[in-house]
Amino acid sequence: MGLKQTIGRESGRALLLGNEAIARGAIEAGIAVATAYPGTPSTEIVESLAEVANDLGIYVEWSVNEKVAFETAFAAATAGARSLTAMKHVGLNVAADPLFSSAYTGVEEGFVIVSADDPSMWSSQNEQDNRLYGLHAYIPVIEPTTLREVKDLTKQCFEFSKEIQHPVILRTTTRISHTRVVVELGPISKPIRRGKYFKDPERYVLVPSNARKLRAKLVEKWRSIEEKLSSFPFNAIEGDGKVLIVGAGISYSYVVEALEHLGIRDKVRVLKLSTVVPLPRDLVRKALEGVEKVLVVEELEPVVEMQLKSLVVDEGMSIEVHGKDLVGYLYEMSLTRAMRAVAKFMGIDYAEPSGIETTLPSFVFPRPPQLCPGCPYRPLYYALRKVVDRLNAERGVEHEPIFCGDIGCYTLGLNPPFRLHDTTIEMGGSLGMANGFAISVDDRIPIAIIGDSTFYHAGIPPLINAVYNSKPVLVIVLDNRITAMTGHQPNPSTGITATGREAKIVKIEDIARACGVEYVKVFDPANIEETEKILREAIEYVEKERKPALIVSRRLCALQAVRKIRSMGLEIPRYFVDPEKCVGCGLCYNKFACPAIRPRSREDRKATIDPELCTGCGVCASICPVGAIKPENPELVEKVREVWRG
Amino acid sequence: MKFVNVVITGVGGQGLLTMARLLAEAAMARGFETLAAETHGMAQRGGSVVVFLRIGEEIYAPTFSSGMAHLVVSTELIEAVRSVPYLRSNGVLATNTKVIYPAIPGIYGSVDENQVLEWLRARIPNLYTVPASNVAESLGNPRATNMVMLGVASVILERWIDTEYLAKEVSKIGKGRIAEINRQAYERGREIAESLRVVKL
Ligand SMILES: Cc1ncc(C[n+]2csc(CCOP(=O)(O)OP(=O)(O)O)c2C)c(N)n1
Ligand code: SF4
Repeated sequence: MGLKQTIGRESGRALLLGNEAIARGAIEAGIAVATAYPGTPSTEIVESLAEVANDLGIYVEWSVNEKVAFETAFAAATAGARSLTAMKHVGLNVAADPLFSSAYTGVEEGFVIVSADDPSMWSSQNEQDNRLYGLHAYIPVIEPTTLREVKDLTKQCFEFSKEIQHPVILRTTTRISHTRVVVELGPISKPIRRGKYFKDPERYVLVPSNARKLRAKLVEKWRSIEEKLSSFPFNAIEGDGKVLIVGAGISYSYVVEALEHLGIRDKVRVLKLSTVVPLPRDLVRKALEGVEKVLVVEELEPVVEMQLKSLVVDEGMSIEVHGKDLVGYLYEMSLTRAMRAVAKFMGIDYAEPSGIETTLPSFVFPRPPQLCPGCPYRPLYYALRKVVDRLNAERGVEHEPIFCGDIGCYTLGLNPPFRLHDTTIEMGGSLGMANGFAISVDDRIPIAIIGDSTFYHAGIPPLINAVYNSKPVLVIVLDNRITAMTGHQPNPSTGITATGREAKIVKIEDIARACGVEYVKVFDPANIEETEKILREAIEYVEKERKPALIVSRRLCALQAVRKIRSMGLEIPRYFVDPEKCVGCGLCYNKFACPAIRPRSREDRKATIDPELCTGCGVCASICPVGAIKPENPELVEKVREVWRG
Repeated sequence: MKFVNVVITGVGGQGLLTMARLLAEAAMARGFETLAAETHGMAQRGGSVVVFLRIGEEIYAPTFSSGMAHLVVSTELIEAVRSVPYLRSNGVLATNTKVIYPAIPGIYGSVDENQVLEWLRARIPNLYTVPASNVAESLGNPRATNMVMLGVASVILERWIDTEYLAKEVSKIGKGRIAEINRQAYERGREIAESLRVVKL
């Protein structure tokens, strides 16, 4: 069951992922436009909307990056279309420029920016708290406090945005976005759109003379927004007592269970706080009446705590305020963490739940994520490591290129046995950093390793920069024709749009040539020999010519290839290792490191292939030095070959 | 508060999210509230996946902490061990007996499966070990391992889910031969659980 299965239903219950509940809330609110660039944990909002877009007559797109996504939805909202844009927390950094300006102009229809933050960094490079963007940019931030209210809260965000004619940030965290919950369905509204633009340059042209006036209005508007939020229906004061616990956002859900667990739910007053920025002062004042001390429970930064402390000072109240001192800054909320903080705050004894065993035995090996069996990046990295090792042997490891990595499945080239990546900072950072190493390191060239989606997202300006300023940079674009890391969304290399329409393929090699790169080549990494040849040639070209070169390693993501092969009614070719021929050298499982191949046992080092994991890509058959790996059905191999090439 | 806390674990790519979603739907069909907190992103590329499934009359928090799980279900042996700290003192553990090694050179074959089983037996009175991968393979699709374990879990969680609903939904996964194998794998899992006289939570 997913969002699509709920279309046509206007009542009853459905189990939806938090992100789908947001999507359902948006269509019940009557959105007309939804845009996003994928990013865990935000992706399924627009992904699920894309599946129902044609049925409901709403416009949904995967934009090339968050800035474009933001501007597209924002423009639509200024033209009277109810709009949503969604992104992961770091995506809002990319869209921060228009974000700040959007507060000055405001909007004409409801405009909700979903910021999906990732406490604990389950799938992210940092743990930034985007509630701070709200304070900084003058945009209200609203958070679900329970999973079951996610859908209706989303709807309310649109109504509120429309009412105040201002963008609203709906902030979720991983555990909201990626938790399935029972949702009560309501009626779906017709998409709200005007289809007309009314000229208003004093509002929408931010030249200094206009911006100064708008800035003064914004500060005033902020006060009235704060007042309105005191009666926001998803905030509540619950229970009574001389102490107050503020449960901000999803921390509220943990607080409720912690109190229940500690048996003190009826002894404290709780402020269920959904509107975290700006702090609804009237409501908080009421919650503080007759209270001696307060505990603010929130994840990450003390956003509510700081605002609450400032209110206490402003009002000259003498109330003890606790928060980060008892709750801590790091990582996501947990039941034990909430219980510990509450128990300490209340001065009660608390025994941690005791389980069966707390320490893991030493035989438990780590299980880091890895490239899938059949992943097109494995043969590329295998060849790259081999070519570079050979060059290192010829002239010394101190001249090994600097591998500037980027963000995507291909970041896993960091791990053994490839051990490539030297840097991975943020999206597009591979090419950006390569620009810097090219002029600051004398005896090593930078190699930027970047995926197709990331190249479109943020790779083009630094490529132009490298050409314009003539930098010795080798760019390897890993074109698997999909945005894989985030769960396989189409992008300009795929040939279809978010809603399944056929789309023009924007070829990376064409972009490179148009940007002025003189050395451009495209190859299939499964052809190991050709790959090694091109890699060596390209490295030598950059070192000698001191100019940028760009090569495109093009082969389908294994999961996509398998899906396509199955949908054609074909089976995955099975491969086997001939034990008579295998010499147990371990090249396939140690150097190539395919997770589907392993030694037969601890003693017998001959290889064997696990049918539960093998995707039938066949690359191992071509790297085996003694030809011991063979397909069961060579005809089938021929049939699937072209699928892998895309 | 009346609820059950379940950890569903295994290796990314084994179909754990499908298992968790089906169990949560079956819990909803039984009239309960349910939350299933999934692992997406990086970990799905062959890393450890942990899904927190909670079923009950009133639940708030999407996750729970160590020592709070009534049940751990695992599709892989080492992941079962990794999740033991989640178990309450009288918790139940049901696991596939297969070890899947990560492609880190040198780790292959480093584990003695009997030693692992001994470690588990010494600690967990309610332990059920199931050769789910073998069962799935013998049915003709090694990727149906998750369905065998789903069958086992469905018996342990009988009081919390609508099993008729679940059986119907299982038969809708995949098409043709794949769907038929999934259904058989699920049924075999249930038979195994019944023959082991598993605890019913
Ligand atoms: C600014 C920003 N937006 C989104 C993400 C999330 N994200 C991480 S990897 C990735 C996709 C990369 O796709 P691609 O470059 O094609 O590589 P693949 O995963 O296919 O290997 C995305 C969208 C991010 N980390 N930063
Ligand atoms: S999802 Fe695709 S691109 Fe990512 S690791 Fe797997 S095969 Fe490679």
